[in-house]
Amino acid sequence: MSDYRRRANRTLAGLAIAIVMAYALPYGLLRDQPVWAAAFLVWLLFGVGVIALIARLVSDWQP
Amino acid sequence: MTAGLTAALVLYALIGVGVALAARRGLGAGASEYYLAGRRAGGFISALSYGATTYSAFMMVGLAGLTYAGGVGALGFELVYLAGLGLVAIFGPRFWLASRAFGFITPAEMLSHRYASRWVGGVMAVTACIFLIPYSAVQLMGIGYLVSAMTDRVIGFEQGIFIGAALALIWTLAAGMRSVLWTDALQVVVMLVSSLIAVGFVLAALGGPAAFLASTRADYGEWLAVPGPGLFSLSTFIGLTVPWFFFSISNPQVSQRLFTTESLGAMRTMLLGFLVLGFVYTLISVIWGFSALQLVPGLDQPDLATPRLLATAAIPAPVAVVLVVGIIAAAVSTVDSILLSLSSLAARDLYRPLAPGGAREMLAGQAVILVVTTLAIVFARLQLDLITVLSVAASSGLLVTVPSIVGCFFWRRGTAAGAIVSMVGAGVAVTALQLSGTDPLGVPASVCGGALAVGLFVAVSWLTRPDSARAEAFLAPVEEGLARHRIR
Repeated sequence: MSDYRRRANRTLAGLAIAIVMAYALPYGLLRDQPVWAAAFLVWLLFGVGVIALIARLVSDWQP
Repeated sequence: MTAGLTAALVLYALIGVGVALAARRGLGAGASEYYLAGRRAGGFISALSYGATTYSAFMMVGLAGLTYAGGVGALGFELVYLAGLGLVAIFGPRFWLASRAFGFITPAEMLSHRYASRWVGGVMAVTACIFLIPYSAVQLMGIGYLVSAMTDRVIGFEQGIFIGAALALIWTLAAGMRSVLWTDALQVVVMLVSSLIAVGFVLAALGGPAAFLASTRADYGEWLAVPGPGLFSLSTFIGLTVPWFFFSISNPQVSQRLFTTESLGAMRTMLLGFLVLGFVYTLISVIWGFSALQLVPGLDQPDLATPRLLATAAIPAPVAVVLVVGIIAAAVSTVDSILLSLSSLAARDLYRPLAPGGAREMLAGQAVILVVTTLAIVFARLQLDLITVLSVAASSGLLVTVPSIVGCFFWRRGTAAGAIVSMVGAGVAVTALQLSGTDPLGVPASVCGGALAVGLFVAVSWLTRPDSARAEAFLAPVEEGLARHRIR
């Protein structure tokens, strides 16, 4: 398998994990925490993270 | 307020009409020119237009209201949508390469070709019309309510509807996708700048960002928790986010944009630009909703949070006027893109198969724009509950097209019968569930509809004979292009 395909597979796996965590963390570990540094912070980091992962996914494109 | 808002609306309309007419210059002939801006859209303007099309009046009114009612879950809900843009990184190049190879104008046309049946595209076009016309009507209703509330009914609800519909119609008819792209770029700037200024004022009224964080934590801690005050149970959250996650490929007014960029580099710019824009606009809308909790507490109807907040002393009248124009811009820019997309679907996937040689296809498409606008106005004026339900069901309803779209590129065994049965069967089922408010065994209706669509597509495809030669011919240029551009 070529390098760009391997890298893309890893990034897609990262994206899938991030999406699962976006449900699991706020509704599991951080459930009922009435503070900013709980669900709000997790989703904020999730947003930044998925933008970074998608940027990485398209960075190998050779238009 | 009334005089200021009227003047601002006139100025906004005049600038928009000027921009739309300017876009006519350089407009060539043919469906590709009209519906896809000649497939020459740059990355930057595409990012702005994608943002304007995706984000409707829902953000500063509906999402702010969801935050007001349900708290931080609204942020998660909207950011899961943004994560769904990862699908553009996967499907975007495939849509683009297929459209370049075969000259597709609409996503439905692509499905018709791939599955070797015009019925597939026809069913997809009808599905889009059923759900997106009510969705447009609700956008017009939003403009009507907002304008009449902000002007103490000097400008009435019906006049608001007509203003929104007229602007969307002119900006669509002027030069098709070219005028939509140009006016969208103008409108997204108005949307973002006006909301940024407005949220700055409400934060200042609450004593600054640090005081806002502290007072929210102290007085509304429950709204920072999940599931919070009750709206965002895990089941509701999943039910809302699953169709939203697939929005970028299920909704033709945005998936069609994957055909318009001048290159794959421009598509990359569009995607990344939109992600940044969407993240910022989401944060603004959620902070706006949290601010409303403190400045206008105790509202029975959360959707009134924004109009009530605009009427407080926290927002100077000129800023309120600019924000109202920004919200109207968000609604109009969504409606005009839907008008154009439905026009292309009706012309290419319903009219053309019936008219030998596709005679007068462009005229038919423009007639459809008028018909759809009229229907949206009629529905908006009737204010039927059914329209609102269908609009809310739009993302779930369009989710049923996803298995056929995925199968188009990733499952050679998929058949036309599988695609048609899954879209019709699951579409009818999910609409019935939404209308009756039923969640079978506690599973959200949208998830049931999506699962049923997958099941029907797979089962019926296995029971019917695939057109393997067509699948190979369709995928060959796509796979060759992916390898050439080093795309997974």
